[in-house]
Parts: sequence; C-alpha cells; structure tokens
Amino acid sequence: MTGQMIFFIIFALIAITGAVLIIALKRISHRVVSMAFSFMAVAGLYFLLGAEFIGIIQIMVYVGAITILFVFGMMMTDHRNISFGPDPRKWQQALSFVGVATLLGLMLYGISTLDMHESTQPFVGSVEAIGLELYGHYFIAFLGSAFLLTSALIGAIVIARKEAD
Amino acid sequence: MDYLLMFLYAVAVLMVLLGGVTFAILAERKVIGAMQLRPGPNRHGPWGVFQTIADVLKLLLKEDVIPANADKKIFVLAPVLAFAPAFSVMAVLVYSSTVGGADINIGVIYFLGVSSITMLGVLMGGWSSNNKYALFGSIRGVAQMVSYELPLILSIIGVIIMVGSLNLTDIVNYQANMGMWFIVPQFLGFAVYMISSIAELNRSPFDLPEAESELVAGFFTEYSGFRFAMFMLAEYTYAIAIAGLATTLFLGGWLGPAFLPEIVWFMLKVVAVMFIWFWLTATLPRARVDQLMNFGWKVLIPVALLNIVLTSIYKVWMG
Repeated sequence: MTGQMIFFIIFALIAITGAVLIIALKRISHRVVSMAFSFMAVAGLYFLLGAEFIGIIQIMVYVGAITILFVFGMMMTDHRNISFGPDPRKWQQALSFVGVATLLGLMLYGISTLDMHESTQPFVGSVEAIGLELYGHYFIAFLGSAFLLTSALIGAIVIARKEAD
Repeated sequence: MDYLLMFLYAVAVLMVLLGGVTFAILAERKVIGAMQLRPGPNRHGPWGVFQTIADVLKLLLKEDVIPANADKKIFVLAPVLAFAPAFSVMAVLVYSSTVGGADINIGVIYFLGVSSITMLGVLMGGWSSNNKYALFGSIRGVAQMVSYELPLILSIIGVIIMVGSLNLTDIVNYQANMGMWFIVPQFLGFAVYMISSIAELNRSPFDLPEAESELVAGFFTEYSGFRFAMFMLAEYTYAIAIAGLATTLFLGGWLGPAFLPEIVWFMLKVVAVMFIWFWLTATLPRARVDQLMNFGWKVLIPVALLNIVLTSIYKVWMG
C-alpha cells in the first residue's frame, strides 16, 4: 500500500464521516464544524490528485467563505425546530430508502463502468491552464456569472435596506 | 521515507516556532516597556529572559475551566482550529535558497487560502463560550478579518503581476535578478499589506476583537489555562507567518550581503517587520469600529486597486 493510498483513505473517510455528521448531528454549530472538516478533506483529495490550484480554491471558497457564511446565518437567525409532522409514516421511510438505494446503485454502476484512460498531461488543474480556459474559451460565461453575482449582491443590499427602514 | 522527512521537517519547524513565539512575546513586552520608559519584565533570569517560560508553565499548571453553559465540544475544538491553519501556512515559507518547505507553484495562494480559516477558530471560540463579550469579540473579529483580507490579497497582486509566478522561490529569485527589493517599486502595496496585516492579526491599533477595556478579553474571555495559551500561540504563530510572507514578497526574502548566512538575513527581516508592529502597538490608540471599516473599504481597497492598475500599466509598457 502506497502512501498516496493511505492518505486517500484517510481523506475519504473524513469527507464521508463529515458529510454524514452534517445530517446526523443535532446542534447546528456542530454541523457547521463537521461541514468544514468535510470540505477540507475534499480539498486534500484534490491535492492528492495534483490539482493544487483547485484544492486551494476549494479551501478558500468553501471552508473560508461558505462556512463563515453559514455561521453568520446561524448567529443572525432564530432557531426553531421545524419538522414534517410528528412521525413519518412507515411507507414513507421505506420509499425514501428504496430511492436512496437505487441512486447509490446507479452511481456505483456508473463509476465502476467508467472508462478512465491515462491523461497525457499530468497537471490539468494548473493555474495557467485554468486561466487560459477561463479568460479565453469561456470568457462570455465568466463575464455573465460576474454580472449575475453583482446583481445578486445589489439585490441583497436593496432588500436589507428596505427591511432596515 | 518522504513522508518521514516531511514529518521531521514539520516537527523541527514547530520546535523553532515555539522558541520564536516565546521570545517574540518577551520582545514585545520589552520593546513596549522601553518605549514607555519602564524596564519591562526583569525578574526571571538575566534581562527577564525566562519570563515567558514561567508564564507558559503557570498557564499549563492552571485548572482547566469550561463554563457550564458552554458548547463543550466546540469550546474544546476552537483553540485547535485557531492554531492549525496558522501553523499550516508555514509549509510553503522558504527560509533560504536551500532550507524551505513545499516548493509548490501556488505558494502565495496556499498561504492566503489556508490563513482564511483562522477566523473559524475565532468565531467558534467566541460563539461556544456563551458569553456576550466573547460573542461581540468574535463578530467584530470576523467582520474585521473578512474586510481586511481583501486589501491584503489585492496588495500582493502587484508583486505577482511583476514576477508572473505564484512560487515564493521564484519571487525571491526575481528580486535578486532585478537587483532591488519589491519594497521600492511596490511601496504602495507594501504599505497596504502592513496596515491590513495588523487588522488581520487583531493587533493594536486594530485590536477591536480583544479590546480589553471594552470586551474583557474579546473572543477568548472564557478561556483559561492551556487553552488560553493555545490561542496566544496561534496569534503569535500567525504573526510570524505573516511577517515571513512580507519578508519574502517585499523585503527580498533571504537576500543580503554574504557576511551572514541566508537564513539569518531572513530571520532578521522577520524581526524587523515584527518590531514595526510592536512600535505601532506602543504608540497608537485603538481605532473605533466604524473608523476601521471605513478605512478598510474606502481607503485601503482603492489604494490597493490603484497599485494593481499602475503595476499593470508598467508591465505592459515595459513588455
């Protein structure tokens, strides 16, 4: 077993455990921390693949920004327990179990039959490659998403101001 | 074998860092003392050298108090979450042309990305304490760190445009070839970097998250004993790391006349940067929250953007 394999297993376990704990834990602050751990482990997987830039962007955006956003949401809102009725019916549970099992089966089938051939370029996720693609081939889409985010930001400020008045 | 070497390097850096933090705290107290015309700590050992060691021993022997209404798991985890990223950024710092951490192509972005996690520790510590002072401190801390991370990153972009690489070794080698440190052509960037790093580190005059006259001790009010020591260790580790990045980016890293080894030059420059921070701590009064936010968004970010525009024009002009 190589070192890479050992680290892959460690990161994968942390990522999956974190993702499960987000659903399973009771307190929202604990969920946020387990989410941060899960995101960090995914970033570690990117590092293992040699896609360092994507890994670090994962840390910056998800751990650094999204988690903080969630914590602010947790602080600024009141916490009530909202659930869908007191006891979920037996057939609902069975139906959701069947649905999830089917999805898992389909995904496992897809992954196991995936035809992965060795890439000729070892570093796909390098800064230069991403920069050239983003500012060359996908320039219009890049600008479009920038406009969308700016308008969303302005909209959020307008809504917040209206509530403050 | 590679992993063993990496592990040994990390342990060695940690050991050097613990010594460095011990003497950084002593140096801060001595420098501020001298500036205020008092001797500073002078009881333990000659010139007070063992003062911090005694302080740390005291903190380690203290009772570990966890408030009854605190969120215990998060409370215990927060000091670790504060220290881990501050120490992880050391992985890419390069101390001389032979001694250094990981030589990856995205060194600068790694540093900035990982350092943005430190605020999670601040936030979790303040929130889990279940204490109004701690909560105020952590909200202030995160607002300040989010706001000042932007000018910090923007001030570095000028250097990156000039060099055309994110690798810290390349940046130092470029300065060696240019025959000049980046503090001269990138002075605007250096000024913005120094100011926003003070806010990022929660140091005076921007120490609002731990303003002792308003918030007792800010986000770590409820912490005592070795957990408190962990927060202090994280703060000074992060300070040393940011001073190391400033040295690499703006002060030529390990470059210097050959009569001293390269690593000594690096450390001397780190000490010089930290001395500037101590100096400001001793001389300036604390800023108000609104002044801090206005200054960050309306002065520092425009100045940093101006620096980027000027650097781009220069780069295009010169080819």
